[in-house]
Amino acid sequence: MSELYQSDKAVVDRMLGGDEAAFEHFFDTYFSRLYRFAVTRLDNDADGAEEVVQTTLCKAIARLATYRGEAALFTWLCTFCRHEISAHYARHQRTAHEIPLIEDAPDVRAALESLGAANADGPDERLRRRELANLVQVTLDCLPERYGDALEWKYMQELSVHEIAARLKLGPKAAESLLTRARQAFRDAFAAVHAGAEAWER
Amino acid sequence: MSDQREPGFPKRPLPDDGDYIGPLLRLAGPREAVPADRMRRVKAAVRAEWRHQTRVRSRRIALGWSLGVCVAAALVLLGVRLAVRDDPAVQSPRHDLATIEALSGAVRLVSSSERAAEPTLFQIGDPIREGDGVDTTSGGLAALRLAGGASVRVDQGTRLRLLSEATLALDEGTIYVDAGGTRGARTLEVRTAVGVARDIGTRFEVRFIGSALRVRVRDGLVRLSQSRQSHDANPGDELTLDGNGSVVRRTVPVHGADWAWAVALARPFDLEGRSLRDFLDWIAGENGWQLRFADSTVEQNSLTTILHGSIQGLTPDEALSAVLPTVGVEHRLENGVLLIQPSAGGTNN
Repeated sequence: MSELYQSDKAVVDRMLGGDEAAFEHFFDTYFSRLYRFAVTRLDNDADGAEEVVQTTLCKAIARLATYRGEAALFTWLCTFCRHEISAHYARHQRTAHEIPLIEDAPDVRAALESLGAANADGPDERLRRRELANLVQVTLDCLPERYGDALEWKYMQELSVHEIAARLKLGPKAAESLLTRARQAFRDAFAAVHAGAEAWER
Repeated sequence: MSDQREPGFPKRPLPDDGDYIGPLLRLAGPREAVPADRMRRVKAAVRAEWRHQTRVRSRRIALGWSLGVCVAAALVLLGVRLAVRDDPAVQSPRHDLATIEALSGAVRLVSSSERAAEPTLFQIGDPIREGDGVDTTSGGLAALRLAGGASVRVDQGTRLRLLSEATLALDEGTIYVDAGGTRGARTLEVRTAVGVARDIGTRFEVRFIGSALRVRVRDGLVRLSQSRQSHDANPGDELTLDGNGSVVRRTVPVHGADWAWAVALARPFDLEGRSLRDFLDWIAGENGWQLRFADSTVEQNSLTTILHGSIQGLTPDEALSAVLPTVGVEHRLENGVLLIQPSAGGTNN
């Protein structure tokens, strides 16, 4: 079990013991990410996403004791969520749309191609930029907890390290260290996407 | 065309230094924030499910320990039983007449056995045997499920004994009975020192304090008997009977704060896979509300809309707020009428 998943497992163990703070941490960490995961796969159906995520979390909590820390907790929750999305489509007698997913090689390729076309301004380029934006946001959601937030605060809100440290309730050195790890994690994620796209092209 | 704020993204391969992260994130923009009301609703439901699961898990763990102890105890009992099997003083076992379904605070066993020296506190799931009962005079609350299916909720300050499957003895205090139409034509009888209340398929409260017996009826019919006199109470009736035979009748609401203690002890509704109509019938019944629909389409849709998730641990208001928006309807509660209508911002389909 990696160190990262050990911390996920520790949160789960505390929840299993009835620790209210652990539940708060769990919900605050994963709800928004799962909601975005669901809503992009439900054709931006906000009500459907709410229903799916609520069911996902309730069912995952009922099976919490089976989480063994062999995958990231978010990945584990996404497994439940995918199942609920399929069930949602089945209940509404609809066929699932082809929603661009980070792990789908054709979409990864399209998004990566848009890296070189981001300055252009035609309709195709605007569409590609939207796809790229989705891809970046999904990558942020897939990063370990707080990494995505820290990167957003740093690069979008342009907060100082001290401000980020205050939000994370860390010292400045620890915050700087977390930012370094967050940047590395983001680079790794994009490198993996890049490798996936090249493999698909071959 | 070039925009100073538009980042010039690198052609593949991506650079190693991570300098592109800032421009890339600024291009993508912030991630979508989930509306606070959605987050609040889901959090309430998920928290309730988590608390329920935590309680269930605790009970299983306790049961696991208990099983080990029980196996050992069973072996000892087997030996004892073999030793006394021919003893004529050993009586046949008494029947289990009810089960403890919910508890709050300390609820003690009222035992008919003279051998019971120490007070015993109930746990959820404990059976109550013929002749035994519950004591909440130290401040607890309890919900019992009778073997026939009726729900009996016991308020604080009460001593109640179970004489048979259909006969309760209220020594003092307050109980609420929901016959729930589960016992067929069999009448449930609540005996007190002053008189006897018999239900005819109904929900009602019986309070016996001092020398006064008070019965309030939510629905159905209750017959109150004293010596050779009897008085019928209908929905919304309150009858108070004293030891001298005088009766006072008045009208009371069948919903509201006076019934809240009994609502709080209701068995949680298992939402998963049930229809919206089932949920609405349950919540209206438990609270004494009349259920109304804005139109026939909303009513029809309530029969076919299947719900998912959990409302355990939520109050009725919280449950309505958590469930209804997910299926495109909303509610209004006025003067005990629960009106279900299409939500203002959505459709009920």
